[in-house]
Amino acid sequence: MGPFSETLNILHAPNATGKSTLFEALRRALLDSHRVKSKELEAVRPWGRVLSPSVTVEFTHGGETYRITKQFLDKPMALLERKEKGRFVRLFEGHAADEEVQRIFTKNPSAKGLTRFQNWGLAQILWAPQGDLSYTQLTGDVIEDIQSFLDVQVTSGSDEGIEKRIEELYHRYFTPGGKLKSGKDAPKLVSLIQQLEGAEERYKKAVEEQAQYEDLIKKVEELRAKRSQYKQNAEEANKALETARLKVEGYKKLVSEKMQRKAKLEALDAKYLEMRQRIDTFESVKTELMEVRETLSKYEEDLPLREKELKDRQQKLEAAKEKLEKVRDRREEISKLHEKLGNVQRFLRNYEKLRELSSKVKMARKIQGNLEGLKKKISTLVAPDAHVLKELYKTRREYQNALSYGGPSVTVLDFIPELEGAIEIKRGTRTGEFRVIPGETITIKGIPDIEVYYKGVARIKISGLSLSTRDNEKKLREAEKKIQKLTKPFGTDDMEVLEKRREAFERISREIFETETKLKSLLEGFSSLGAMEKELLKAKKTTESLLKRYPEWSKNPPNVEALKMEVANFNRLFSEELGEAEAEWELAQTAFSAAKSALAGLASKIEELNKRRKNLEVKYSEMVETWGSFDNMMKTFKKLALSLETARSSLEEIEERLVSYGEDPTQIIAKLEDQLRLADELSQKALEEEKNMEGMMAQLASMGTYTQLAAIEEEKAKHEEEIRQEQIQVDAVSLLYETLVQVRSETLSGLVGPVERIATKTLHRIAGGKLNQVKLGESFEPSHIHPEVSETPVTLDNVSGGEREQIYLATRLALAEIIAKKERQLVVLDDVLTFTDAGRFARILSVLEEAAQKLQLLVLTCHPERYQGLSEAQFIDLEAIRFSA
Amino acid sequence: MRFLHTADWQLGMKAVHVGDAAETVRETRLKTVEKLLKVAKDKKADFILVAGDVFEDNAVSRLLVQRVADILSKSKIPLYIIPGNHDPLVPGSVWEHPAWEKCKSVRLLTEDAPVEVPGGILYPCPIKEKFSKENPTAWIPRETGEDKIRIGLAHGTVEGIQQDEVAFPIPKDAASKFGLDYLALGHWHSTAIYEDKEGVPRMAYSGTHETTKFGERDSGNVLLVEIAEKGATPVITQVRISELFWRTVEYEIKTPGYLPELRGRIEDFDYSERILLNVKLSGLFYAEEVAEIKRIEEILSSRFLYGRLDLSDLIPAPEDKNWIESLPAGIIRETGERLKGICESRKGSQPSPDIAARALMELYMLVMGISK
Repeated sequence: MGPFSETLNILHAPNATGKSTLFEALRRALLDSHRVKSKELEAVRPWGRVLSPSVTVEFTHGGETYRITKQFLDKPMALLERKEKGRFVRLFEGHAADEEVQRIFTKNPSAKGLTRFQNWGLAQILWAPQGDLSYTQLTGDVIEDIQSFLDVQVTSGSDEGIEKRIEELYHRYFTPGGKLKSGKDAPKLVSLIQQLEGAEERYKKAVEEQAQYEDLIKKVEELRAKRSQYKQNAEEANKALETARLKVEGYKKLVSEKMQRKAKLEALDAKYLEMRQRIDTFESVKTELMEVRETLSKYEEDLPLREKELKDRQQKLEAAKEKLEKVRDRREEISKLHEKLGNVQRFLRNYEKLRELSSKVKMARKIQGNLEGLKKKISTLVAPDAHVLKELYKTRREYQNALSYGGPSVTVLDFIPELEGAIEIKRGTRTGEFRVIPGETITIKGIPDIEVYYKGVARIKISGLSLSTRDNEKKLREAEKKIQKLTKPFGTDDMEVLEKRREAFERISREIFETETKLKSLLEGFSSLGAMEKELLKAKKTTESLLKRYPEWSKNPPNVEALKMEVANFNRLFSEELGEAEAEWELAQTAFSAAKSALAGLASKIEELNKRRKNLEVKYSEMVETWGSFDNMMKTFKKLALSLETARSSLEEIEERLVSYGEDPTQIIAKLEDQLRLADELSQKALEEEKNMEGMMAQLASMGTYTQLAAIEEEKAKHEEEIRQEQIQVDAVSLLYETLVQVRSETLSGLVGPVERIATKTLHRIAGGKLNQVKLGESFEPSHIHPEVSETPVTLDNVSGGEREQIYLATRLALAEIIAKKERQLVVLDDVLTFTDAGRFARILSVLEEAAQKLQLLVLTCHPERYQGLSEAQFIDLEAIRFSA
Repeated sequence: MRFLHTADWQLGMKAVHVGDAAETVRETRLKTVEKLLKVAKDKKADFILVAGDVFEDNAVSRLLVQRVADILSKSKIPLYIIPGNHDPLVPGSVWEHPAWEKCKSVRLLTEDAPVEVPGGILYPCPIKEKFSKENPTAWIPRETGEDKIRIGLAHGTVEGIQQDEVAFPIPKDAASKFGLDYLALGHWHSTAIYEDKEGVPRMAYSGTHETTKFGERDSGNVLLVEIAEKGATPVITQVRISELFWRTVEYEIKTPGYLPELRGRIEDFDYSERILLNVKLSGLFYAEEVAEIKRIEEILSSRFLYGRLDLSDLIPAPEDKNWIESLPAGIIRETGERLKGICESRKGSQPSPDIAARALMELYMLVMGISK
């Protein structure tokens, strides 16, 4: 098919009509080795036929026309021809043909197959396989091509080698993650650090052992000093012991002598005491007997005096008793005075009651009389009660109604008297006698007739006309009858009179009630006036009875307060006299008892002393009989006292000599022996400990702790120095590498900028400014976009599928534009932009049209209608070609 | 009277900053003791005075003690030894080792008591603790009236030496004060001779027989002392016996050309197998001389007993355009420029200028194909 337009070509066909096969054929022809064998290529072989896939492509490059023919799988071949003077001339064959075509199309021929995207060369950018505009990192050769197209010298060939060596140097020490390597590939520094750590451990132990050795030296020195001190102590104790033992000899002799003298003294002392006791007993009995006799004699003299005293006391007691009785007899006078006081109080209370009751009875009798008058008055008053009055008023209203309903005519007589007197109305609406006063008109009504009798003057009869109906008249008559019936008991039907009577009745009733209330109040506490009168009578009788007893009270009423005072004075005097008399009696009684008791005691004592005297006299006789006379006994006693004194002096003399020894020398020996034993024990213990320490020290000394420590310190220092050197080397390599990476990164970011700007501009044309800015990685792959609404860039995972393919298209076209600066390049898009909506697709068409000015675009699609807007494009119907073939 | 005065052998001492050479340093100290005995024999010394610190510590290996005793027992010349503050006479000390019982040539002096020596009397001042502020020579009687040469043997600090806390202080006039013809001292590792008021040298530190560390001044000697008679001026001869040489080279590079010169110098060192060399360079570093570094390192590690090259204070010379211009234009050169910028930043800033210098050197070597 062909020839293709140098600008825009739309190759269209329905599905399964060979679009992808065409893409594959182009790719294999222009980019791949003819000897390649892959599953993808096997898939191109026609089904069920043993045919080898082959392809021939004619193309222009550098003003020359070329033709490449390749056959794959069976009998593979490649032939590159160039058109010279109108005919194709063989240029390269086989592998050379592959390489030359690849060089033309990818710049960097690769011997490797096209299965891997990395081997596609510039086609990584220019060729988009079916439905996939995306690509990952571009390979180094492509990046370099782009850089070269951008006219920027980033690295030269030699640079690459140096960079590579720097990287190798760096990776000798560090992992790709930037950590120091470990394990078998670890740099020397790591093993040195490990060795140093091991040495540090051993160093600690060696330092401890050395310190232990030094410590043991000090301890042994201390123990030796201690042992020396113990030895000295033991020697001193030994010397003291010898001296003490000599002392003990003399001391023991003295102690023995002392014991003998002490025994003699104790024997004499016992005899002395016995003799002394006998003498004391003798003297005691003798003295006691003498005392008993004296006392007895004295008691016997006292006996008559005691008897007389008892008699006196008895007389005084009787006199006191008599006086007390007399005082007690005055108690009756007190009773009488109290009775009189009670009567006075009763008289005065009764007198007051009498006065009050008399007044009340008098008043009550008067009220009682009034009440009876009122009751009599009301009993004579004929007045209607409230019910009758109410009924009467009702009947009168019925009567008046009957009249107003056309009842009989009312006749009215105005009676104007000229003289005072009385008239009797015989017939009329109101009947009865009425007083008349001159000049005051009395209006008399009759239905219809009026009859008035004015006594002594005239009888006046007036007849009126009756115009009532029969029924009304009946009601009128009935009312009239009822009025008459109701007023009959009261002798008048004059309502005013009846009202007044009623008022009078009510007034008298009220007065009766008030009078009864007053009477009841006056009789408070009494059931009736009679009861009050009875009480008054009783009071009168009581008064009379008291006046009969105390007639003087009728003239002079008694003074109760004076009498009360009199009673109180009498009581006080009586109490005082009684207390005094009782005290006197008690005193006399006590004295009498004491005298009686004293007399009895004296008698008893005399009896007892007599007994004691007899006993002592018997005892004294027995002592003389047993021990001899008292004088002889005294002589023996004096001799004994002298012997005792001599023995005591002898003992004191030897005790003084013992005191000069101070502490008991035998005790001192025991103490010294203890000290000596202790010093020996301590010395022995210190020696054992010393030997033990020396053993430990010898063991450490044999180890040569210092020598060991020195060796380890040297080893440590050596490692530290080596580590220092290695660390400098490692740090230097790290710094070199990091600086290189930083410089490279900064340089590359300077290259990416122009591509980003072109891609961003294209994207703005397609999708508007929403996505804002396309950000590329170091390998020119779209890595982020920086939307207007976001403060930070976002990855492509955050945009829609349509936008993602638009970003990739924009980037590919930007890169293709840069690559095509020197020579028009072929861009192949196989059924891409499947996620793009119609609006943006239309804008993409404009972009493609514009791009086609610099690039040869080959678009494979099954939707040619979507590209109809491309007026300049050449549409190639694959299906039509197929049918025509 | 002729004797050899020595001290501070510090046998068994650690040598922490000389890496693998530590064991050689220790062994050499022992061999130098043998050499010392030979010197004594050659100089016809009547006896040898050892003024303390024979051992670095009482807890050194007992095998070492045995070896030392074995070496000393071969001497026909008697050795009078006092314990020092490093190997004081304490329980479990090296001096309690049974090896000394059979070592007849050694007279271990453990008491403050005069000892007869050929031609005179020796007043030893043994040390019995690690630290004390007591003057160890205080016990020496002033003048006994005898007509013998009086020699003191002590371990301590002569007053006037700057120290935070003076251990075992010895008066500056101790020799004349106690009427000693000579006071043999130990404790300080550098040789020092003290004159009395009349300008007569009567007191001296022999110093250690083998240098113990870098920067230790005037060590590695023994003193041969000759005293004709009591009161005569001692004739003191300093004899160098040290087998090892501890050298330090510190240089600030300001112009190109020093590294080749340094390389040439160290290539020309004699007895380099006995030299411990500490090279510390600062200043400027020129790109063209990078290869010299490698060469110097090679020489140091292959020829010398111990060699250390400290370049941490070197920075790439700012005026040296080769550091950058030698690098290919583009990323690599830019990387180089940035590293060089860090090198020229203030010391102590991050990233560290010395690390950046090393990184730049690595880059330069990679580009220039200089293998490490």
